[in-house]
Amino acid sequence: MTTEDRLRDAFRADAETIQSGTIRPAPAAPEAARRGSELGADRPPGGLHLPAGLRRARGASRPRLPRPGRVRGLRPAGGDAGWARSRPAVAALAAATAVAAIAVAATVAGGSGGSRSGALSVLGAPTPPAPRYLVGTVQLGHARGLGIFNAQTGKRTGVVRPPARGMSFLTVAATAPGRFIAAAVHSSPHNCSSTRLYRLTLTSRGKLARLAPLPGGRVSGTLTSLGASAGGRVIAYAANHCNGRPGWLGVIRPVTGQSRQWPLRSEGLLDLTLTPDGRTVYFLNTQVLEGDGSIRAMSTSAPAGPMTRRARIVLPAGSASGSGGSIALAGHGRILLACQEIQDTAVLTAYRAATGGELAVLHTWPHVDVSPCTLTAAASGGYLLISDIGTHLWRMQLGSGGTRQLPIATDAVDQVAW
Amino acid sequence: MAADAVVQELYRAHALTLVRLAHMLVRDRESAEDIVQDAFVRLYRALPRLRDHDQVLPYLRTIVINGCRSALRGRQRAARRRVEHDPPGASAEAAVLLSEDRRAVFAALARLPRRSREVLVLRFYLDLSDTEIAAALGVSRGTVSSTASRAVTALGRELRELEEYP
Repeated sequence: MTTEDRLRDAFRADAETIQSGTIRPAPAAPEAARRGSELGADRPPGGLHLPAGLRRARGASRPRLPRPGRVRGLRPAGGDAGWARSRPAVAALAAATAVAAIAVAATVAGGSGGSRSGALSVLGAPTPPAPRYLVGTVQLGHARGLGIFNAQTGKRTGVVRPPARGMSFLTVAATAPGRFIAAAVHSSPHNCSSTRLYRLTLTSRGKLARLAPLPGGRVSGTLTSLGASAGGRVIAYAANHCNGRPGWLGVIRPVTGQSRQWPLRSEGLLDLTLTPDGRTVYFLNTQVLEGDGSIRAMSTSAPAGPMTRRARIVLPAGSASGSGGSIALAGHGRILLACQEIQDTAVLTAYRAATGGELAVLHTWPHVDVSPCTLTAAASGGYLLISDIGTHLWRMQLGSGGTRQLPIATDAVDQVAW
Repeated sequence: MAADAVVQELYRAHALTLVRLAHMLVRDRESAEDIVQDAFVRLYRALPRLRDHDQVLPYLRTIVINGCRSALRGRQRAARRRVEHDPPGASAEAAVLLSEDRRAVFAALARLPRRSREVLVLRFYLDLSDTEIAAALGVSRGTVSSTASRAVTALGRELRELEEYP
């Protein structure tokens, strides 16, 4: 019996110890309520939150995150001396190879408080058009399907229902504009080991063109993260065993049918990303899953075996002294973007993917009483999708650092890709 | 419909589930019922200002969860001050009715951080979606997702430890 099954069983049994008819009757209306007076006493104890809908109904505006911008909000996280130290303007990122000259320029804004803004300039590589459509998991009745959204208008242009009854889509990754890999799993906990990967293709109008099983795309565990190389020649995923124990990092090459796995030991792998060529997988050994908080990289051709011996540390634990977080790659896999929670601030930072050297703090969102943002790089490059922060999804153009709120509420979609 | 009738109907529909929810978090029947009674008293006052009645149940859940937090904080304060109080263990009735395996689950659950316990109860007892859990706890869906993953893993570890070293 899995941990989840044991929980459900225990909760069900515990619930049955309290039977209908044995609890007290409803309380009488308090006098003040009968008079209709405004007591303002319905705040939960301890000054804790109320549901967003209720807050709006009461006219008390929900604390809003500051609108991200290129300069505003880019300030050190309060209380962390590490962020207060002076950093030189980031010089050109010397190309390890002579192929593309990728330079990163960090514009340090003057003024008190150390405000700074950062932008990544991919020299010689014009920014591609922003993705037209994004795909995210959405609730469809009792199952989770996929919603296709126009990234400009926010309109839902299509829906992909789960491929079979009892299944739900779990997560999705983009391989190219309009092309995705999606993972679907049986909703029943008894079928935990039946995760299947599917190829998804959109029409130019944002409708589903094709949904087909990915060759070799059967995963015997619970998927926690999914990544794809450009074109989808390499798929990487992290999976846990059905009982919740750490599972493995897996790589599938659909063209050749090859797959390889590396068992997880102490790693708490929640977020991974592949370089566009599919040669390297970067992952966050997140503290959320008892990891050490480091960011590591591993060749997807590494021999099978314990991952601790195969993966190199790009950012050691403590260097990005936050918890949780999300990572993405930009600049043809040469720039590593990490969003980390440091105290109550979400910080988006760019690093050299090869060495872990810090390039620029691209943005900060102070006073974020939620998990750090989730990053999704566009398959076409040049753009970053930022979710799980505030009420709407955000788009960042990496070349300019400019951000724009997308007309898609974070409530509307869960796992997203574009 | 008058406020009295609305609340009475809501009580009939949801009080039992909410008492069970509170019981799973505070492990004490009396406290659980107190918390739910208090939640409905608050609902009387809030009802005239609730434009969206779809928000009533999420509101009640939030008030109950916050009430459980207050109750548990009160117990911790009492413990620090060495004040006599009922232990936060399972009620005698529940202890009798629950099997050893189920008691082990609740013992392991009690070792988890507060938010982890709340996420697990909301997900595996009430079968709420991540969005609904996020609304009830006032956190993001990402936090719910990561907390749930961590909590299930940690709970499995605690259960193994309890089984190996009871």
